[in-house]
Amino acid sequence: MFKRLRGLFSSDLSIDLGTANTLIYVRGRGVVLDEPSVVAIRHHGNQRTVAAVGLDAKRMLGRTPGNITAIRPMKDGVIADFHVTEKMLQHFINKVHENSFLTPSPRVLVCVPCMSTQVERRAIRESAMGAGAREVFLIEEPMAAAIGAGLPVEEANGSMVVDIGGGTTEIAIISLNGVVYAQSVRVGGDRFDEAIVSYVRRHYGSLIGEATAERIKEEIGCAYPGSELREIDVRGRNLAEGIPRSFTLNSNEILEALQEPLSAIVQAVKSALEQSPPELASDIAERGLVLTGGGALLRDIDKLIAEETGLPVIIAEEPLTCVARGGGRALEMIDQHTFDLLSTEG
Amino acid sequence: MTDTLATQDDIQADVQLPENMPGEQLKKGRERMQLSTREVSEQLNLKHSFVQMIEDDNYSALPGATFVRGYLRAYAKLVGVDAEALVDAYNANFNEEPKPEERYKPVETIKPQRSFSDPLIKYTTLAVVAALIALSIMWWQSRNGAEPLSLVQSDTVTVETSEGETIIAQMDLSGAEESPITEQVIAVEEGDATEAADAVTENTEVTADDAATETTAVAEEPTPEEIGQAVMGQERFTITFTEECWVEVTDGRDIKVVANLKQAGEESVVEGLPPFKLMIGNAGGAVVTYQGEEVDLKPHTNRNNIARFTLGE
Repeated sequence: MFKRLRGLFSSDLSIDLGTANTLIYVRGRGVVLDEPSVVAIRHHGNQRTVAAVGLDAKRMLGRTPGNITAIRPMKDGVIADFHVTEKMLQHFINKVHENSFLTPSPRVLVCVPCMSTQVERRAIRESAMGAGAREVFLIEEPMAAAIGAGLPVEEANGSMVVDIGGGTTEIAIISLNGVVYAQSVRVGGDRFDEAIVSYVRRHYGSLIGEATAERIKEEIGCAYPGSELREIDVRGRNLAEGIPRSFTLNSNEILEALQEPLSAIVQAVKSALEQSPPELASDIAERGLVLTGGGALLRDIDKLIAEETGLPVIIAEEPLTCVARGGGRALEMIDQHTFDLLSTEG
Repeated sequence: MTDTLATQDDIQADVQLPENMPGEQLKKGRERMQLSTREVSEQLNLKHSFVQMIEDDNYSALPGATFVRGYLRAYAKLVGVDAEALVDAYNANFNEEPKPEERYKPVETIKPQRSFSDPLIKYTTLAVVAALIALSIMWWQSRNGAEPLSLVQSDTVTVETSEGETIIAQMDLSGAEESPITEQVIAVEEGDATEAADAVTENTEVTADDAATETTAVAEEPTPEEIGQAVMGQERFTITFTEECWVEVTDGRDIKVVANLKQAGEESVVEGLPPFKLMIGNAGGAVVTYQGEEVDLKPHTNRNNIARFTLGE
C-alpha cells in the first residue's frame, strides 16, 4: 500500500545488472547511470556497513586496508552476494531518483542471463524487491540486447545476437519476439582480464592487478592478427625480485593471451549456428549476426567471428548500453501486448 | 532488376550531391584499393548484391538501418574510409529514424504512471504540504500568544504589592505605550486615602530615580474623584473578601484591572469600563457588590470553587 504511494513519485527503471557494470535506464530519460558493480564494505567487528558503491568503490578495488573490502557482488552474471547486491541496487535506485523526497519505489525490469537457473532468477527478483522495487519484471539479456541493438525481433526473421558481457557471453537466435535458441557461456571480459594476468605472470614473471589488466585490454587488446602493432608500458611486481618493475607489452602478446577465452566464444557461436533451424540459419547467413556488450569493443573481434563463421558480423551502436536500452524499450511495451518478451519464471 | 536500380539511382543522384553519398565514397575507396565488388563481398561475407546496393546508395532492399550501419562500418574499415562520417551521411540522407531508440514509440496507455512523477504535481504537493505546516504553526502561535502577556502583568502586580498596600495594576505593556494616559486604569485599594497617596508618591520617586521606565500612570494623583472625572463612562464595584482569594478582573477594553491574591478581610474597589469579566478563585470567600446589589456567585461557580462570570452586560 505504502509502496504504491511512493510509486507515484518514482519512474520505471530498466536495470542491466551486469557482472562488470550496472546500467540503469529511466523511462523517458534514457540511460542515466553507468557504474561498476562494485561495493566497498567497511567492517566494525561483526558489523558491516557500505563504504562506497560504484565508481568510488571500483577505485578501491585491490587498494583497500584491512577493514574495508571492495567486492563485486555479481559473478558470472548472477548474484554471488545477495545482501550486498541488494544494498548496491538500493543505492543505484536512490541515485537515479535524486530529486525525490520520498524513498522511491519504482517498477523495475531486470535483465537476467538466459541460462540462469530458477534459483538465480529468484535471487535477482528478491534483491530488487529488497532494494525497494514495487514490481519486478525479468527479461532475458539477449532479448534485451537485440531490442537495444535495433534488431527486428518482432518479425518472422531470424536475428542472432552475441552479447559479450563482463561475466558471460550470451548467444541467442530470436524470431517473433521469442528466443528460439539461447546459449550462455561463462566467458566474458573478466576472463579476458584473468587471461592477461596469467599471461604476464608466465612470460614476465610479474604480477599485475585486474585493473591494470583491464587497462591493457582496453588499450591494446585485439582479437585478430594483422592490424597495427600497439604497445603499452606496464608496471607490475616482479615475482622473483619482489620489486615493482616496468615492462612493455604489445598487442600480439595480448592476442596470444586472449586465445583461450576467444576460442570459447567462437565455439559457442558455432554451436549456436549448428543448433539453429535451417530457415533461421539462412536468414542469419544473409544478414549477419550482431555483437553487443563490452566485449564487442575489443578490437577486431568482429573480424575474428566473421572469419571463423563465414557470416557478416555487425557491431551494434553503443554496444555497452544495448541491454539497458533494450530493457527500457521492453518496459515501454509491457502494458501493450508483448508480454511474451518477458521471462515468466522466477 | 538492374533497370529499376538504375532509375532509383538517377532519382537520388538528382536530389543529393554524389560526393557526400556513402556508397559513392565507398566505391572510390574500393577503386583506390583496387578491389572488385566480389572481393569485397567475400571479405565481408556479404551477399554480392548487398555490396552493389550499398555502392548504389539503394538501401530499400537491405535488411534494416541497424544492419546497414553495420555493413557501412565494416566496408569503410576495409577500404580505409572514415566510418563515422559515412554513417552520419547515411543517417542524414536515408534514415528516417535517426536513432534506433525512436523506433518504438512509448505507449500512451501507461502515461498516468509518468504524469504522477511530473515535477508540476510534485511541487504542487510540496507547496500544499508547506502551506498546511505554515498554517498550523500560525494557529499554534496565535493560541499561545496571550499567555506571556498575562505572566508579565502578574509579575508587575506582585512587585507592586511588596511596595505597599496600593496596587497599581499595570495593563498590557504595548497597550500602555500606545494609549493615552487617561485610558490607563488604576485600581486603588480601599483603605486610608492618604496612605495610598503616600505610597504612590513613593512609587513615583522610585520610578523617577530609575528614569528608565515610564510609569506615567503613577505620576497622576490617583484620588478616586480625579479618576472618576478623567475617564467617562467608567463604573465601579466592590469585592469584599472573607477568605484568601485570587481575583482577576478584565474590563470592557480587555484590560486586566485586577489580578492579585487578596487576604481575608480586604476590600477591593474595581473601576473600569463595563462589562467586567471576573474570575474568582475560592469563590465562597468573596462577596461582589455591583450597583449596590450583592451578586450571587453560586450559579457561576464550578466544582473547583472557581467563579467565572461577566458583570454589567
